[in-house]
Amino acid sequence: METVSIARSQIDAIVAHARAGAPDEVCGVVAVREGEVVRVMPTRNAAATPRNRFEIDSRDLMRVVEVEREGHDVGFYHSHPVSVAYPSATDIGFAELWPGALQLMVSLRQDVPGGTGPEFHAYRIVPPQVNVVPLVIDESR
Amino acid sequence: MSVKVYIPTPFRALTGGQSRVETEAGDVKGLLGDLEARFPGMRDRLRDEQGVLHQFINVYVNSEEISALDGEATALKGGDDVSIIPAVAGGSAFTIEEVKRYSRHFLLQDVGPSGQRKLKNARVLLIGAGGLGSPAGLYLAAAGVGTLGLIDFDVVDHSNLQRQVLHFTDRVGDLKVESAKQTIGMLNPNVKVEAHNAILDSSNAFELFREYDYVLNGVDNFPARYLANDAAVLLGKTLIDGGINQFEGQVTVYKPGHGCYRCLYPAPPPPGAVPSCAEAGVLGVLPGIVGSMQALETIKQILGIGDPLVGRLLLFDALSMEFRTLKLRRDKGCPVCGDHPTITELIDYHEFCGAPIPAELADQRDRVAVH
Ligand SMILES: [Zn+2]
Ligand SMILES: [Zn+2]
Repeated sequence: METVSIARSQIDAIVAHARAGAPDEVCGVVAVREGEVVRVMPTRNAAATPRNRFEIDSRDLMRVVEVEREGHDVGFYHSHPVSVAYPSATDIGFAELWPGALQLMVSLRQDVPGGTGPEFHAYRIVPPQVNVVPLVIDESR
Repeated sequence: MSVKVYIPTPFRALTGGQSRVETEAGDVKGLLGDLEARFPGMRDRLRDEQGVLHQFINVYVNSEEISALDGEATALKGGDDVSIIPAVAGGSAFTIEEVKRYSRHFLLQDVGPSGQRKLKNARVLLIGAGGLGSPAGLYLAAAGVGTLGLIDFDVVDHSNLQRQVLHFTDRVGDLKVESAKQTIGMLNPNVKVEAHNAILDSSNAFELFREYDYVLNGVDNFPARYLANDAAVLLGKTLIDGGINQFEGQVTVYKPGHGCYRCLYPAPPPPGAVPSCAEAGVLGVLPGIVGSMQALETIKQILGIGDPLVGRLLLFDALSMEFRTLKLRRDKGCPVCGDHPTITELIDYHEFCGAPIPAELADQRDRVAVH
Protein backbone atom coordinates (compact mmCIF):
# COMPACT_ATOMS: atom_id res chain seq x y z
CA MET A 1 0.00 0.00 0.00
CA GLU A 2 1.25 3.45 -0.90
CA THR A 3 2.41 5.79 1.86
CA VAL A 4 3.76 9.32 1.60
CA SER A 5 6.36 10.71 3.93
CA ILE A 6 6.26 14.30 5.08
CA ALA A 7 8.47 16.27 7.47
CA ARG A 8 6.99 17.64 10.72
CA SER A 9 8.26 21.07 9.67
CA GLN A 10 6.24 20.84 6.42
CA ILE A 11 3.07 19.98 8.33
CA ASP A 12 3.82 22.88 10.67
CA ALA A 13 4.17 25.23 7.69
CA ILE A 14 0.82 24.17 6.22
CA VAL A 15 -0.92 24.45 9.62
CA ALA A 16 0.61 27.91 10.13
CA HIS A 17 -0.68 28.98 6.69
CA ALA A 18 -4.16 27.62 7.52
CA ARG A 19 -4.24 29.42 10.88
CA ALA A 20 -3.10 32.68 9.35
CA GLY A 21 -5.78 32.45 6.66
CA ALA A 22 -8.68 31.35 8.90
CA PRO A 23 -11.63 31.78 8.76
CA ASP A 24 -10.93 31.53 5.01
CA GLU A 25 -9.68 28.37 3.35
CA VAL A 26 -6.05 28.47 2.24
CA CYS A 27 -4.33 26.45 -0.48
CA GLY A 28 -0.95 25.59 -1.94
CA VAL A 29 1.15 23.39 -4.17
CA VAL A 30 3.48 20.62 -3.01
CA ALA A 31 6.26 18.80 -4.81
CA VAL A 32 6.52 15.05 -4.29
CA ARG A 33 9.57 12.92 -5.12
CA GLU A 34 9.40 9.16 -4.82
CA GLY A 35 6.76 9.19 -2.11
CA GLU A 36 8.27 12.05 -0.17
CA VAL A 37 7.01 15.62 0.08
CA VAL A 38 10.06 17.71 -0.85
CA ARG A 39 8.61 21.21 -1.09
CA VAL A 40 5.57 23.16 0.20
CA MET A 41 4.55 26.33 -1.63
CA PRO A 42 1.70 28.48 -0.30
CA THR A 43 -0.44 30.09 -3.01
CA ARG A 44 -3.16 32.73 -2.98
CA ASN A 45 -6.82 31.71 -2.73
CA ALA A 46 -8.72 33.43 -5.55
CA ALA A 47 -12.18 31.99 -4.74
CA ALA A 48 -14.99 34.55 -4.65
CA THR A 49 -16.26 33.10 -1.34
CA PRO A 50 -13.06 31.91 0.38
CA ARG A 51 -14.96 31.08 3.60
CA ASN A 52 -15.88 27.73 2.12
CA ARG A 53 -14.18 27.64 -1.27
CA PHE A 54 -10.67 27.69 -2.61
CA GLU A 55 -9.20 28.17 -6.00
CA ILE A 56 -5.47 28.50 -6.46
CA ASP A 57 -4.88 31.95 -7.94
CA SER A 58 -4.08 31.50 -11.62
CA ARG A 59 -1.06 33.79 -11.13
CA ASP A 60 0.40 31.12 -8.84
CA LEU A 61 -0.40 28.13 -11.00
CA MET A 62 2.91 28.23 -12.89
CA ARG A 63 4.27 26.61 -9.72
CA VAL A 64 2.82 23.40 -11.12
CA VAL A 65 5.05 23.63 -14.19
CA GLU A 66 8.10 24.48 -12.04
CA VAL A 67 7.54 21.40 -9.91
CA GLU A 68 7.25 19.14 -12.89
CA ARG A 69 10.23 20.76 -14.61
CA GLU A 70 12.25 19.76 -11.57
CA GLY A 71 11.14 16.21 -12.25
CA HIS A 72 8.79 16.01 -9.27
CA ASP A 73 5.14 15.05 -9.03
CA VAL A 74 2.69 17.81 -8.31
CA GLY A 75 0.31 17.73 -5.35
CA PHE A 76 -1.86 20.24 -3.55
CA TYR A 77 -2.99 21.19 -0.10
CA HIS A 78 -5.94 23.14 1.29
CA SER A 79 -7.57 23.84 4.61
CA HIS A 80 -11.04 23.34 6.04
CA PRO A 81 -11.41 25.93 8.79
CA VAL A 82 -14.54 24.34 10.32
CA SER A 83 -15.20 20.99 8.72
CA VAL A 84 -13.36 17.69 8.79
CA ALA A 85 -10.12 16.98 6.91
CA TYR A 86 -11.96 14.88 4.38
CA PRO A 87 -12.75 15.84 0.77
CA SER A 88 -16.10 17.60 0.42
CA ALA A 89 -18.42 17.00 -2.52
CA THR A 90 -16.98 20.16 -4.07
CA ASP A 91 -13.43 18.91 -3.58
CA ILE A 92 -14.30 15.61 -5.20
CA GLY A 93 -15.98 17.40 -8.10
CA PHE A 94 -12.98 19.61 -8.81
CA ALA A 95 -10.58 16.70 -8.42
CA GLU A 96 -11.77 15.68 -11.86
CA LEU A 97 -9.35 18.32 -13.18
CA TRP A 98 -6.40 16.66 -11.38
CA PRO A 99 -7.43 13.04 -10.85
CA GLY A 100 -5.04 11.06 -8.70
CA ALA A 101 -2.93 14.03 -7.57
CA LEU A 102 -1.80 13.97 -3.94
CA GLN A 103 -4.21 16.13 -1.92
CA LEU A 104 -3.14 17.13 1.58
CA MET A 105 -5.89 18.47 3.81
CA VAL A 106 -5.78 20.20 7.16
CA SER A 107 -8.81 20.79 9.38
CA LEU A 108 -8.85 23.42 12.09
CA ARG A 109 -12.16 22.33 13.61
CA GLN A 110 -10.35 20.91 16.67
CA ASP A 111 -7.72 23.65 16.68
CA VAL A 112 -9.45 25.47 19.53
CA PRO A 113 -8.81 25.76 23.28
CA GLY A 114 -9.58 22.35 24.76
CA GLY A 115 -9.62 20.76 21.30
CA THR A 116 -7.43 17.95 20.02
CA GLY A 117 -5.50 20.19 17.59
CA PRO A 118 -5.24 20.42 13.80
CA GLU A 119 -6.10 17.31 11.81
CA PHE A 120 -3.95 16.39 8.82
CA HIS A 121 -4.68 13.77 6.14
CA ALA A 122 -3.75 12.89 2.58
CA TYR A 123 -5.82 11.56 -0.28
CA ARG A 124 -5.73 10.69 -3.93
CA ILE A 125 -9.12 11.41 -5.48
CA VAL A 126 -10.24 9.77 -8.70
CA PRO A 127 -13.85 10.96 -8.75
CA PRO A 128 -16.02 9.62 -7.30
CA GLN A 129 -13.44 7.51 -5.47
CA VAL A 130 -11.51 8.94 -2.53
CA ASN A 131 -8.39 6.96 -1.58
CA VAL A 132 -6.74 7.61 1.75
CA VAL A 133 -2.94 7.84 1.58
CA PRO A 134 -1.33 7.05 4.95
CA LEU A 135 1.23 9.67 5.94
CA VAL A 136 4.56 8.76 7.50
CA ILE A 137 5.70 11.77 9.52
CA ASP A 138 9.43 12.39 9.73
CA GLU A 139 9.78 14.07 13.12
CA SER A 140 13.48 14.82 12.56
CA ARG A 141 12.99 17.13 9.59
CA MET B 1 9.14 28.90 -35.53
CA SER B 2 8.50 26.05 -33.15
CA VAL B 3 6.68 26.60 -29.84
CA LYS B 4 6.94 24.25 -26.84
CA VAL B 5 3.74 23.36 -25.03
CA TYR B 6 3.61 22.04 -21.48
CA ILE B 7 0.94 19.34 -21.13
CA PRO B 8 -0.35 18.96 -17.54
CA THR B 9 -0.44 15.51 -15.95
CA PRO B 10 -4.22 15.09 -16.27
CA PHE B 11 -3.99 15.54 -20.08
CA ARG B 12 -1.10 13.19 -20.69
CA ALA B 13 -3.34 10.21 -21.26
CA LEU B 14 -4.31 12.05 -24.46
CA THR B 15 -0.74 12.80 -25.59
CA GLY B 16 0.60 9.30 -25.09
CA GLY B 17 2.36 10.35 -21.90
CA GLN B 18 4.23 13.28 -23.46
CA SER B 19 4.69 16.18 -21.05
CA ARG B 20 5.92 18.53 -23.79
CA VAL B 21 4.86 18.75 -27.37
CA GLU B 22 6.11 21.06 -30.09
CA THR B 23 3.91 22.88 -32.51
CA GLU B 24 4.10 25.45 -35.28
CA ALA B 25 1.49 28.12 -34.67
CA GLY B 26 1.28 31.88 -35.03
CA ASP B 27 -1.05 32.40 -32.10
CA VAL B 28 -2.64 30.62 -29.14
CA LYS B 29 -5.83 29.85 -31.03
CA GLY B 30 -3.83 28.14 -33.77
CA LEU B 31 -1.80 26.26 -31.19
CA LEU B 32 -4.86 24.94 -29.37
CA GLY B 33 -6.43 24.05 -32.73
CA ASP B 34 -3.31 22.07 -33.60
CA LEU B 35 -3.44 20.15 -30.28
CA GLU B 36 -7.16 19.48 -30.76
CA ALA B 37 -6.48 18.08 -34.23
CA ARG B 38 -3.54 15.93 -33.15
CA PHE B 39 -4.91 14.51 -29.92
CA PRO B 40 -8.47 13.11 -29.97
CA GLY B 41 -10.39 14.06 -26.82
CA MET B 42 -8.34 17.22 -26.29
CA ARG B 43 -11.07 19.47 -27.61
CA ASP B 44 -13.56 18.30 -24.95
CA ARG B 45 -10.99 18.93 -22.25
CA LEU B 46 -10.30 22.45 -23.48
CA ARG B 47 -13.63 23.76 -24.76
CA ASP B 48 -17.37 23.59 -24.08
CA GLU B 49 -20.02 22.70 -26.69
CA GLN B 50 -20.02 26.27 -27.97
CA GLY B 51 -16.28 26.07 -28.54
CA VAL B 52 -15.50 28.50 -25.69
CA LEU B 53 -12.36 27.75 -23.68
CA HIS B 54 -13.43 26.24 -20.33
CA GLN B 55 -13.14 28.77 -17.54
CA PHE B 56 -11.16 26.26 -15.48
CA ILE B 57 -8.45 25.93 -18.12
CA ASN B 58 -5.63 28.45 -17.81
CA VAL B 59 -3.23 29.08 -20.69
CA TYR B 60 0.11 30.84 -20.17
CA VAL B 61 2.62 32.19 -22.66
CA ASN B 62 6.05 32.49 -21.07
CA SER B 63 4.44 32.40 -17.59
CA GLU B 64 1.97 35.16 -18.46
CA GLU B 65 -1.71 34.23 -18.46
CA ILE B 66 -3.34 34.87 -21.86
CA SER B 67 -6.27 36.71 -20.26
CA ALA B 68 -3.69 39.38 -19.35
CA LEU B 69 -2.39 39.33 -22.94
CA ASP B 70 -4.60 39.11 -26.05
CA GLY B 71 -6.53 35.99 -25.08
CA GLU B 72 -6.54 33.34 -27.79
CA ALA B 73 -5.32 35.96 -30.26
CA THR B 74 -2.03 36.25 -28.34
CA ALA B 75 0.76 36.01 -30.93
CA LEU B 76 3.49 33.37 -30.62
CA LYS B 77 7.04 33.41 -31.85
CA GLY B 78 9.72 30.73 -32.08
CA GLY B 79 11.05 29.63 -28.71
CA ASP B 80 7.95 30.67 -26.74
CA ASP B 81 6.85 28.42 -23.89
CA VAL B 82 3.15 27.74 -23.61
CA SER B 83 1.62 26.04 -20.55
CA ILE B 84 -1.88 24.66 -20.20
CA ILE B 85 -2.88 24.25 -16.54
CA PRO B 86 -6.28 23.17 -15.22
CA ALA B 87 -7.59 25.09 -12.21
CA VAL B 88 -7.07 23.67 -8.73
CA ALA B 89 -10.16 24.29 -6.65
CA GLY B 90 -12.50 22.88 -4.05
CA GLY B 91 -14.38 23.84 -0.99
CA SER B 92 -16.15 22.67 2.13
CA ALA B 93 -19.87 22.40 2.59
CA PHE B 94 -20.42 25.00 5.28
CA THR B 95 -19.01 28.29 6.42
CA ILE B 96 -18.32 29.00 10.10
CA GLU B 97 -21.40 31.19 10.08
CA GLU B 98 -23.49 28.27 8.82
CA VAL B 99 -21.98 25.82 11.28
CA LYS B 100 -22.95 28.15 14.13
CA ARG B 101 -26.36 28.97 12.68
CA TYR B 102 -27.33 25.32 12.20
CA SER B 103 -25.51 23.94 15.27
CA ARG B 104 -28.79 22.69 16.81
CA HIS B 105 -29.47 20.74 13.62
CA PHE B 106 -25.91 19.37 13.58
CA LEU B 107 -26.50 17.92 17.05
CA LEU B 108 -29.45 15.87 15.84
CA GLN B 109 -28.59 12.40 14.60
CA ASP B 110 -31.37 12.55 12.00
CA VAL B 111 -30.19 15.87 10.57
CA GLY B 112 -26.46 16.48 11.10
CA PRO B 113 -24.23 17.92 8.37
CA SER B 114 -25.57 15.55 5.71
CA GLY B 115 -29.18 16.47 6.47
CA GLN B 116 -28.27 20.13 6.50
CA ARG B 117 -26.73 19.67 3.06
CA LYS B 118 -30.01 18.13 1.85
CA LEU B 119 -31.85 21.19 3.16
CA LYS B 120 -29.34 23.48 1.47
CA ASN B 121 -29.77 21.71 -1.86
CA ALA B 122 -33.59 21.64 -1.61
CA ARG B 123 -35.83 23.87 -3.72
CA VAL B 124 -39.29 24.57 -2.28
CA LEU B 125 -42.05 26.57 -3.96
CA LEU B 126 -44.42 28.50 -1.70
CA ILE B 127 -47.71 29.35 -3.32
CA GLY B 128 -48.78 32.55 -1.62
CA ALA B 129 -46.79 34.84 0.67
CA GLY B 130 -49.75 35.33 3.00
CA GLY B 131 -51.08 33.74 6.17
CA LEU B 132 -49.68 30.23 5.58
CA GLY B 133 -46.74 31.19 3.36
CA SER B 134 -45.44 33.60 6.00
CA PRO B 135 -44.72 31.19 8.86
CA ALA B 136 -43.79 28.44 6.41
CA GLY B 137 -41.36 30.71 4.57
CA LEU B 138 -39.80 32.00 7.78
CA TYR B 139 -39.26 28.56 9.26
CA LEU B 140 -37.99 26.98 6.04
CA ALA B 141 -35.56 29.86 5.60
CA ALA B 142 -34.44 29.67 9.23
CA ALA B 143 -33.89 25.92 8.87
CA GLY B 144 -31.61 26.50 5.90
CA VAL B 145 -33.67 25.40 2.89
CA GLY B 146 -31.38 26.64 0.13
CA THR B 147 -33.86 27.94 -2.42
CA LEU B 148 -37.37 29.24 -1.80
CA GLY B 149 -39.62 30.16 -4.69
CA LEU B 150 -42.47 32.53 -3.86
CA ILE B 151 -45.45 33.19 -6.07
CA ASP B 152 -47.96 35.90 -5.14
CA PHE B 153 -49.51 38.75 -7.11
CA ASP B 154 -50.75 40.83 -4.18
CA VAL B 155 -49.46 43.93 -2.42
CA VAL B 156 -49.18 44.21 1.36
CA ASP B 157 -52.38 45.60 2.88
CA HIS B 158 -53.02 46.80 6.44
CA SER B 159 -55.50 43.93 6.90
CA ASN B 160 -52.70 41.38 6.24
CA LEU B 161 -50.56 42.43 9.19
CA GLN B 162 -52.78 40.66 11.77
CA ARG B 163 -51.39 37.27 10.63
CA GLN B 164 -48.97 37.53 7.66
CA VAL B 165 -45.75 37.77 9.66
CA LEU B 166 -43.43 38.09 6.65
CA HIS B 167 -44.68 41.66 6.19
CA PHE B 168 -44.21 44.76 8.32
CA THR B 169 -46.17 47.99 8.68
CA ASP B 170 -43.77 50.04 6.57
CA ARG B 171 -44.20 47.60 3.67
CA VAL B 172 -47.91 48.39 3.16
CA GLY B 173 -48.33 48.97 -0.57
CA ASP B 174 -45.21 46.95 -1.50
CA LEU B 175 -45.39 43.75 -3.55
CA LYS B 176 -45.75 40.80 -1.19
CA VAL B 177 -43.04 38.79 -2.92
CA GLU B 178 -40.60 41.68 -2.58
CA SER B 179 -41.50 42.27 1.07
CA ALA B 180 -41.12 38.54 1.75
CA LYS B 181 -37.77 38.41 -0.02
CA GLN B 182 -36.54 41.30 2.11
CA THR B 183 -37.64 39.68 5.39
CA ILE B 184 -36.17 36.28 4.51
CA GLY B 185 -32.91 37.94 3.49
CA MET B 186 -32.73 39.59 6.92
CA LEU B 187 -33.43 36.29 8.68
CA ASN B 188 -31.06 34.09 6.67
CA PRO B 189 -28.94 35.60 3.89
CA ASN B 190 -27.81 32.09 2.85
CA VAL B 191 -31.25 31.43 1.38
CA LYS B 192 -31.85 32.20 -2.27
CA VAL B 193 -35.33 33.64 -2.78
CA GLU B 194 -36.88 33.45 -6.24
CA ALA B 195 -39.75 35.94 -6.35
CA HIS B 196 -42.51 35.38 -8.90
CA ASN B 197 -44.93 38.31 -8.90
CA ALA B 198 -47.75 36.55 -10.72
CA ILE B 199 -51.12 34.85 -10.34
CA LEU B 200 -50.81 31.07 -10.45
CA ASP B 201 -52.80 29.95 -13.48
CA SER B 202 -52.81 27.34 -16.20
CA SER B 203 -50.29 29.33 -18.24
CA ASN B 204 -47.49 29.26 -15.67
CA ALA B 205 -48.19 26.44 -13.16
CA PHE B 206 -46.35 23.63 -14.97
CA GLU B 207 -43.33 25.75 -15.80
CA LEU B 208 -43.07 26.96 -12.22
CA PHE B 209 -43.68 23.64 -10.47
CA ARG B 210 -41.06 21.89 -12.60
CA GLU B 211 -38.37 24.15 -11.12
CA TYR B 212 -38.93 22.90 -7.56
CA ASP B 213 -38.67 19.69 -5.54
CA TYR B 214 -41.66 20.36 -3.28
CA VAL B 215 -44.67 22.65 -3.41
CA LEU B 216 -46.12 24.14 -0.24
CA ASN B 217 -49.68 25.24 -0.80
CA GLY B 218 -50.61 28.44 0.99
CA VAL B 219 -53.44 29.59 -1.27
CA ASP B 220 -56.64 31.15 0.01
CA ASN B 221 -58.94 30.53 -2.94
CA PHE B 222 -60.45 27.61 -4.83
CA PRO B 223 -59.15 28.30 -8.34
CA ALA B 224 -55.53 28.22 -7.14
CA ARG B 225 -56.17 25.24 -4.85
CA TYR B 226 -57.51 23.09 -7.70
CA LEU B 227 -54.84 24.34 -10.05
CA ALA B 228 -52.03 23.58 -7.59
CA ASN B 229 -53.47 20.14 -6.90
CA ASP B 230 -53.86 19.22 -10.56
CA ALA B 231 -50.43 20.56 -11.53
CA ALA B 232 -48.79 18.63 -8.68
CA VAL B 233 -50.58 15.38 -9.60
CA LEU B 234 -49.86 15.74 -13.32
CA LEU B 235 -46.15 16.48 -12.68
CA GLY B 236 -45.77 13.91 -9.89
CA LYS B 237 -44.75 16.54 -7.30
CA THR B 238 -45.45 16.21 -3.59
CA LEU B 239 -47.83 18.94 -2.41
CA ILE B 240 -47.75 20.00 1.24
CA ASP B 241 -51.25 21.30 1.63
CA GLY B 242 -52.78 23.52 4.26
CA GLY B 243 -56.04 25.39 4.73
CA ILE B 244 -57.64 27.64 7.31
CA ASN B 245 -61.17 28.83 7.94
CA GLN B 246 -62.10 31.07 10.84
CA PHE B 247 -61.07 28.89 13.84
CA GLU B 248 -60.19 25.68 12.03
CA GLY B 249 -57.18 24.51 10.11
CA GLN B 250 -56.14 21.43 8.19
CA VAL B 251 -52.85 20.01 6.93
CA THR B 252 -51.96 17.04 4.77
CA VAL B 253 -49.27 15.87 2.37
CA TYR B 254 -50.44 14.78 -1.06
CA LYS B 255 -47.81 12.43 -2.39
CA PRO B 256 -48.21 11.06 -5.92
CA GLY B 257 -50.06 7.76 -5.79
CA HIS B 258 -51.52 8.44 -2.33
CA GLY B 259 -54.52 10.56 -3.21
CA CYS B 260 -55.09 14.22 -3.84
CA TYR B 261 -57.40 17.11 -3.07
CA ARG B 262 -59.82 16.02 -5.78
CA CYS B 263 -60.14 12.60 -4.12
CA LEU B 264 -61.89 14.56 -1.35
CA TYR B 265 -63.51 17.32 -3.36
CA PRO B 266 -63.81 16.20 -7.00
CA ALA B 267 -65.09 19.57 -8.22
CA PRO B 268 -65.26 23.10 -6.81
CA PRO B 269 -68.56 24.29 -5.30
CA PRO B 270 -70.63 26.64 -7.45
CA PRO B 271 -69.65 30.33 -7.18
CA GLY B 272 -71.54 32.07 -4.37
CA ALA B 273 -72.10 28.85 -2.43
CA VAL B 274 -69.33 29.69 0.02
CA PRO B 275 -68.44 32.97 1.74
CA SER B 276 -65.77 35.15 0.13
CA CYS B 277 -62.29 35.29 1.65
CA ALA B 278 -62.84 38.80 2.93
CA GLU B 279 -66.12 37.86 4.62
CA ALA B 280 -64.95 34.65 6.24
CA GLY B 281 -62.45 36.00 8.73
CA VAL B 282 -59.65 34.10 10.41
CA LEU B 283 -58.14 34.12 13.88
CA GLY B 284 -54.67 35.71 13.70
CA VAL B 285 -52.53 32.96 15.21
CA LEU B 286 -54.20 30.08 13.37
CA PRO B 287 -52.29 30.34 10.07
CA GLY B 288 -49.09 30.51 12.12
CA ILE B 289 -49.81 27.04 13.50
CA VAL B 290 -50.97 25.51 10.23
CA GLY B 291 -48.19 27.07 8.11
CA SER B 292 -45.58 25.95 10.65
CA MET B 293 -46.87 22.39 10.44
CA GLN B 294 -46.61 22.58 6.65
CA ALA B 295 -43.00 23.74 7.00
CA LEU B 296 -42.32 20.84 9.37
CA GLU B 297 -43.80 18.30 6.95
CA THR B 298 -41.74 19.81 4.13
CA ILE B 299 -38.54 19.45 6.13
CA LYS B 300 -39.44 15.83 6.97
CA GLN B 301 -39.93 15.18 3.25
CA ILE B 302 -36.54 16.73 2.39
CA LEU B 303 -34.72 14.81 5.13
CA GLY B 304 -36.70 11.61 4.65
CA ILE B 305 -37.36 11.24 8.38
CA GLY B 306 -40.37 10.37 10.52
CA ASP B 307 -43.89 9.45 9.45
CA PRO B 308 -45.12 11.97 6.93
CA LEU B 309 -48.69 13.22 6.96
CA VAL B 310 -49.36 11.20 3.80
CA GLY B 311 -52.77 9.53 3.64
CA ARG B 312 -53.84 11.47 6.71
CA LEU B 313 -55.67 14.76 7.05
CA LEU B 314 -54.86 16.59 10.27
CA LEU B 315 -57.66 18.83 11.51
CA PHE B 316 -57.04 21.47 14.13
CA ASP B 317 -59.74 23.25 16.11
CA ALA B 318 -58.28 26.37 17.69
CA LEU B 319 -61.23 26.89 20.07
CA SER B 320 -61.30 23.40 21.58
CA MET B 321 -57.52 23.00 21.07
CA GLU B 322 -58.08 19.58 19.58
CA PHE B 323 -56.24 17.77 16.82
CA ARG B 324 -58.00 15.00 14.92
CA THR B 325 -56.66 12.86 12.12
CA LEU B 326 -58.76 11.49 9.28
CA LYS B 327 -57.55 8.71 7.06
CA LEU B 328 -57.32 9.61 3.38
CA ARG B 329 -57.24 7.12 0.58
CA ARG B 330 -56.70 7.56 -3.11
CA ASP B 331 -60.09 7.43 -4.87
CA LYS B 332 -59.89 5.13 -7.88
CA GLY B 333 -62.59 7.29 -9.45
CA CYS B 334 -60.74 10.57 -8.81
CA PRO B 335 -60.95 12.74 -11.94
CA VAL B 336 -57.21 13.56 -11.84
CA CYS B 337 -55.34 10.85 -9.88
CA GLY B 338 -57.83 7.96 -10.31
CA ASP B 339 -57.47 4.90 -12.50
CA HIS B 340 -59.16 6.57 -15.44
CA PRO B 341 -58.48 10.29 -15.08
CA THR B 342 -60.66 12.68 -17.05
CA ILE B 343 -58.58 15.76 -16.18
CA THR B 344 -55.31 15.68 -18.10
CA GLU B 345 -54.66 19.39 -18.41
CA LEU B 346 -54.99 22.43 -16.17
CA ILE B 347 -58.31 24.22 -15.68
CA ASP B 348 -58.73 27.89 -14.71
CA TYR B 349 -61.75 28.25 -12.41
CA HIS B 350 -63.27 31.62 -11.56
CA GLU B 351 -62.48 33.38 -8.33
CA PHE B 352 -64.35 32.28 -5.21
CA CYS B 353 -63.42 31.44 -1.64
CA GLY B 354 -63.97 29.36 1.48
CA ALA B 355 -63.18 25.77 2.38
CA PRO B 356 -66.22 23.67 3.29
CA ILE B 357 -65.76 20.22 4.75
CA PRO B 358 -67.99 17.72 2.91
CA ALA B 359 -70.73 16.01 4.92
CA GLU B 360 -69.21 12.53 4.85
CA LEU B 361 -65.91 13.89 6.16
CA ALA B 362 -67.67 15.91 8.83
CA ASP B 363 -69.35 12.67 9.98
CA GLN B 364 -66.11 10.76 9.89
CA ARG B 365 -64.41 13.54 11.81
CA ASP B 366 -66.73 12.95 14.75
CA ARG B 367 -65.96 9.25 14.74
CA VAL B 368 -62.20 9.28 14.34
CA ALA B 369 -60.14 9.14 17.50
CA VAL B 370 -57.70 11.89 18.35
CA HIS B 371 -54.09 10.94 17.52
ZN1 LIG C 1 -11.99 21.02 0.72
ZN1 LIG D 1 -57.13 12.32 -6.46
